[in-house]
Amino acid sequence: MSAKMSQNSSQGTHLTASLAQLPLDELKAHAASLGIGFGRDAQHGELLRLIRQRQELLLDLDRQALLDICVWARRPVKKSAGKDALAREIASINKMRFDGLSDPGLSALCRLRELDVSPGAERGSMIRALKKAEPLGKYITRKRRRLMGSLINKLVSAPGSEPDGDKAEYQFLPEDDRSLKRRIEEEGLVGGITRKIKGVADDYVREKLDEIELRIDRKLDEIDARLGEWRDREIRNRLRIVKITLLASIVVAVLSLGYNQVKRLTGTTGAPQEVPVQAATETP
Amino acid sequence: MESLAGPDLFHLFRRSLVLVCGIYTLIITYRAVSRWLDDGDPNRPGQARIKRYLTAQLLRTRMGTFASDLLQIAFLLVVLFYLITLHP
Repeated sequence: MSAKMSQNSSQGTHLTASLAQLPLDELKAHAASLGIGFGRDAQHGELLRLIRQRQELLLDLDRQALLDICVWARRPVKKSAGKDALAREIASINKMRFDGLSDPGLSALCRLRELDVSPGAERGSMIRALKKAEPLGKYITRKRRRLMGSLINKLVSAPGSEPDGDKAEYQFLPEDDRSLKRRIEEEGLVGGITRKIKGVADDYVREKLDEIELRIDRKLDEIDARLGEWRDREIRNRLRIVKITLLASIVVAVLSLGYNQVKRLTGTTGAPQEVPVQAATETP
Repeated sequence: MESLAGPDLFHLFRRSLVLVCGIYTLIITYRAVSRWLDDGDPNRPGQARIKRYLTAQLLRTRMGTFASDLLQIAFLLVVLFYLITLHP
């Protein structure tokens, strides 16, 4: 799990801080960048919960599916980009023509847009769900832009003269695999080293924070389980006390019944009971 | 009622036992309930949180775990009630 998390690192100053320590406005910005929808009055706890949910979703999604979405939308990403970076790009995609998007990509897009689509759903039903989920304002804006684009294209360029960019083969951004020597040569000593060290430090700190949170979650689960056992033990003891009390009451009730029976039998013989009264009256 | 030994001591014993146990039960119950309800102590702010957690833990109890104990208690109650009804 920690290896997977380290692969999903991305640039950003707020990545070095624990999410729970971020102020509300930064938390909102982080949530918005991940494409999470939240109300205007969303509080710290609610935003943390939503961000955690999105992080768990990203862990569950296939990275190749996320790459497919970015390739389909022709977003500039590196092939080695982490899931967080891909999710940020996908959050800003407004394209609603899904030709060329693979089925896993379409499924991942539905899940990122929080649509209730079953895993093995048909392509047509997923596309219908995505179109139905588009807000009306965005739909109108998109249609208006399409109309303006087609009008201006007719006015400005001749038909067939401008190649459609979507048909050209997509190319990923080049990986930054420059050596330290080349980096210093191009960015200077401090800039070159700083960028390399900062990136490594960001990844390390983020990985460690994730490990710590996982450990805390495990400990909390252990504590919860132990408290559950303690609770069961206490309830069992209380029930045992109730049983002992009832048994004691039954014993006293049986003794009482026995005593009443003996008293009744002694009382039916008659004579023995009168002797003490006569003896008492004879004494002065 | 007079008997060979004077007043009915067993009757007295039963009445005293009921009185003492009843008063003891009331006192213990009152103390437990007042301790549970008293969460306004400003020096212990986490007390209310712990109380809510304990309540949630109690609500998560599965009755099936204690089914045999509860059945035994129900049986003993029936026996006790029957014995009480046998008394004149």
